[in-house]
This record gives sequence, structure tokens and C-alpha cells, in this order.
Amino acid sequence: MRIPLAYNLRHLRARPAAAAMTALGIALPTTTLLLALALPEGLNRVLQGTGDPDNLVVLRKGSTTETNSAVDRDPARLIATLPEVVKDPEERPLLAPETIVIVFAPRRNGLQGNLLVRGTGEGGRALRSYVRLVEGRWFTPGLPELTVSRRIAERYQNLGLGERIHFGKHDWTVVGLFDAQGKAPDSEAWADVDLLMSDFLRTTYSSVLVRTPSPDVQARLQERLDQDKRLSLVGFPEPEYYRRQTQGPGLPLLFIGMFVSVLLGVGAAVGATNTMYAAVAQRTREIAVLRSIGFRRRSVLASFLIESLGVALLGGMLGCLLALPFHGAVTSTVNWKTFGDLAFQFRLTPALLAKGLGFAAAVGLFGGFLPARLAASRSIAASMRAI
Amino acid sequence: MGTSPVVSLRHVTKSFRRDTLEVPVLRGIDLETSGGDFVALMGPSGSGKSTVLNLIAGIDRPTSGDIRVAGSDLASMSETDLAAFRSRHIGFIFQMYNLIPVLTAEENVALPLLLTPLSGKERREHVRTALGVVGLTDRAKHFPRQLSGGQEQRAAIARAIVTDPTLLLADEPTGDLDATSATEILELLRRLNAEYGKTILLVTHDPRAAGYARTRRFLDKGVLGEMPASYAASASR
Repeated sequence: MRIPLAYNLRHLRARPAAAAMTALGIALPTTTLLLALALPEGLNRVLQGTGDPDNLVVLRKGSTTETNSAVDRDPARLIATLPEVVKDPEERPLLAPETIVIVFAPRRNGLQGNLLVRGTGEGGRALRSYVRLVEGRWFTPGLPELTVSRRIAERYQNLGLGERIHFGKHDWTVVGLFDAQGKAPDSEAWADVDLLMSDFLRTTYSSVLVRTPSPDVQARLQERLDQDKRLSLVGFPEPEYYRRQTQGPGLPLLFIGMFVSVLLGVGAAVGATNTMYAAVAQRTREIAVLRSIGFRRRSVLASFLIESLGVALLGGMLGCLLALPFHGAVTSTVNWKTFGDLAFQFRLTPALLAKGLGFAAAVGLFGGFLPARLAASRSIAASMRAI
Repeated sequence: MGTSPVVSLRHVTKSFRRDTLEVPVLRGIDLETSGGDFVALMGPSGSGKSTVLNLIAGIDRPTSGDIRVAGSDLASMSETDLAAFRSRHIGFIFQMYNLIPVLTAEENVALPLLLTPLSGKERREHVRTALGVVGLTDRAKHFPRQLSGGQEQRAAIARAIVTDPTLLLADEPTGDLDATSATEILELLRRLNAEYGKTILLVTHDPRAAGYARTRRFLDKGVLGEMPASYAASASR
């Protein structure tokens, strides 16, 4: 039978300062861990949630991202003639030859950022129906105009509606803001593809985005591109293309975050150990009495572990509360596949919070184990003689 | 009252090791107590009285000799078995009361019952009865710090008797009390023995306290012997 929980709870209440300090010590690494895990969670939501399965991203063979891809104009024109490509109501092939350019631009926090500018056209908008214009208008082909993600406009200087930013050979005017519902284009500014290529002396596209009518046809198109040696192209279903980028961007931050969490966690465990050792020392007499009444060693062990666990879970909950305000906060990191800034939101899911509590519980159990074992292993007679 | 011995110690020795030195505390004692006895074990400080109690309670092990309590051979029992044995057969009363300070009087009394299969309702009834026997019903919800020394010791006695154990072991139960409270506690012990037939082994160095017992044994330098005349005179009331 276990020692009543009231025993542990009231002891915690009897020494609130020690319990609070230990809980706080566990709360901090929990918060750090949660924020570290919220990064990939947010990134994954952006990258894994982007892409229409009917779309095929066509790149140069051997490339995995648009950054290191170059698709000549002739193959791009050839793709437009292929029977696997869906036609719009006016019998025009539904595709978008696009180029991307990374521009150094000042962020609103004063630091320089890698702004990803996508040269696209009407087809690009049609193929990304989730991208909605929320303010202003779309850029005019042939003019140095930008329509940028509202999220990017909030993070970069000179990208507000009506503002101008210089890159390439022009001053580009922001004529509209769009919302991509948290998906990858929310980290982009869009411009006319031909003018952008001309500005940067590009003769090749980065990619061609193509709509196919069904998965079977899409697979056929992939096979055709793969086997046609003249084209030297490769096609990825759009969701897969973005999913492949999820491994890169968050890893350094995740690694640093985890490293700091573990360091702080070890510190917190030592703190919990000290607190529990003090508790055991203060309660030598009580432990002896409980054992003399007939409570077993394992009951004493469990009781002190539960107490340590209780403090740790309190710290864990505090850590979750400290992390919660960051939920939904927008930040960005470099996407090492495209070298562009990738804006995303910290996402604290219930599963992540459960992981945080699990981490705190592990710290508590780890920290409480040695003192609990000491309490359980003490000889009753020796304890009686000592008091 | 049964006639078979509740406690039987045969040639029991106990030594403690201090660094490399072996310090003998008990030098081969024999002691037998029957059901319903009220035995006072007297002796000066350091004579080994508390060690005898600890051995009988199974919280310490002898260096040699046999100990049987309530029919159990303590030497052959594991730690776990001894814990179960204590919860079933032993009620311990300490000099310093040793109530758990964060639990109320009734919660302290209920502690040993957690080791029994009784239901919550039955436990509450037992606690009420035990507190009634020691006259502490009105202090059931009080924490130890809110009780006087005498009241604390009565709560401790209620905790010791609540499971109706075979044997009550009292280690200097009046040593920390004023004379009036001490008398109340000793009267209570005598009543537990006389009215409820509890077998009590009382350790004390106070002849007046020993006077409440039916039988008195004297322990000096680890050997059980005859009561010195000075003690005997004080103990007879």
C-alpha cells in the first residue's frame, strides 16, 4: 500500500520556496525544449502542407530544388505541348515556367535577410489557388511590380503596400499583398517572370510547374521526362518536392535547442536531487516511523519519487505556460535548400506539450531517484538511533 | 488471555560495530512475555532497553540468538515479511510521539490501516474508535503542532492500537511529558492492558512509570537481571 499523497502534497506546501525554485528550475529547460521542438513543428507544417498533388514541379535532372535547377526555354516550351498537361478552358496548357532569385533585403529588425523573389505568371497563380490576394492587386506583366506575402511585408523593410525596393536593375513597387495560408509562398515575393529574368540576366527558368489531370497521368509524365534524354528533366509531385525540404531548415536550430534543453535539464535534475536530498534529511525520523509502522521500502521509494515527480510536473506545466505565448509567433530561418528565408509560426501542439511534460517528468524522476533510494534503504534502527 | 508466549527471546546478543571496535549491547538475554502481560523493562541509559524493543519489533536483527514474536521466527524473515509482520502485530509508541507533522491526528492514526484490506469506511470507524479510546475524538482534525505533548502522545497511542496489534511496544512514552500528562499516559496504558487485554512491553528508566506494569525486568550492561533495591522501592506504588 502506498503512503498517502496528502503526505507529499502537504510537505510540498510546507516548504513552498524550495518546491517553487525546483519547479522553476525544471520549467526553464521545458520551455527551451518546447520552443526547440515547436520550430520543426512549424516548419513541417509549412513545407509538408504545401503543394497540390496534381501539380508536378519540373527541374533539371540532378536537381532537387529550384535554386540549383536550370530549365532552358526550349524544353519549357516543349512541356507545354505534351498531352499529359491539363488545358484551361481556353485550351491553354496549365503550367508556369518560373524563376527564383534570392535578394538581400533589410528586415524590419535591422538585420539583412534572404528574400526569395519568385518570377511567375498567370499560370503560377492559377496553379496555387490557395494563394489569395488580400490587399492591392497582382503585379502587371512587364512592369517592375511586386505582389508580396503579407507575412513577408510585415517582416521586411520597404515591402509594405506602395513601398519600393531596389534590386536587379529596377526599383520594384509593391502593388499588392497576398496570403498563402501559412504555406511556402508566404515566404515569397512574386514578380513577372520575364522581367525578373531580364533583370538578373537569366536565360533559363528555375522550374516549370505543371498541372496534370490524375496521378496516373502524372506518373506517365514523370516517366516521359525521365526517359527523354534530350530534355534532361525530372519531375516531382509538388507535395513531395516541399516534403524533401523539411530535413534541412530546422535542423541547426533544433540541434541547438535540444542541446541547451539537455544542459538545462541536467542542471534542473541536479537541483531536484538537492531538494529531495534535503527533504530526505529533514524527514529521517518520519521515514523511520513509516517503516516501523510497516510501510515497505518500495512504498517509501515510491512516495519520494512521486513527490519529486509532482514538483517536476508542476515545473513542466509552468514550462508549458511560459512557452504558450510563443504559439503562433512568426519567425523565419534560412531554408538551406533554397537559401531563402522561410517564414513560419511556432506551433505548440497538444502532442508537443505532452512531450514537454514527459521531459519534465523524466527530469523529476531522474533527479529524485537517488534521494528516494537513500530514503528507502536507510536502516530503521539506525535512523531511530540518529534522531 | 493466552498462555503461549507472545515474545520469546533466547540467548540474544547484539553488538554494534564502531569503526573497528565491536561494542556489545546485549549479552545473551532471555525474555518471555505471555499474552496480556504488561512488562516494564527498566535500566539506565545505554543499557540496551531500546535495542531489545527494536529486535522484538523486527526493525533490527540480533547478532545471535532466537527471537519469536506472535509465533513468527524473526530471524528467518525477509525485510518485506518483517514489514508485513510489523503492520500486523506491532504497535510502536515512541518517546517523542513521532506523529507525521503534515498529517492531522486522525490521518496519523489511519496510517497503519492503509496496510490492511479495510475499506475507507471501515478505516474511518477504526480511527474513530481508537481516538475515542484515548479520549481525543475532539482533536481528530488537529495537526500535531496544534496539540499538547500529552495529546500528541495519546494520538500516537491511538495510532499504535488502531490495528489491534498483538503487542504494544512503548519506548520511554512519558520521557518527554510533564508529570500530569505522564500520569494520564501511564493510566491509559494500564487501561489498555486491563480492559482491552493488550500485551505491553514498556521501556523506561523511570521507576514510577515501571510501577504501572505488572512485571518488571531490569537490564544493565546488556544483561537481564534482578531489580536493584533502589529501583524496586520506587517502582512499587
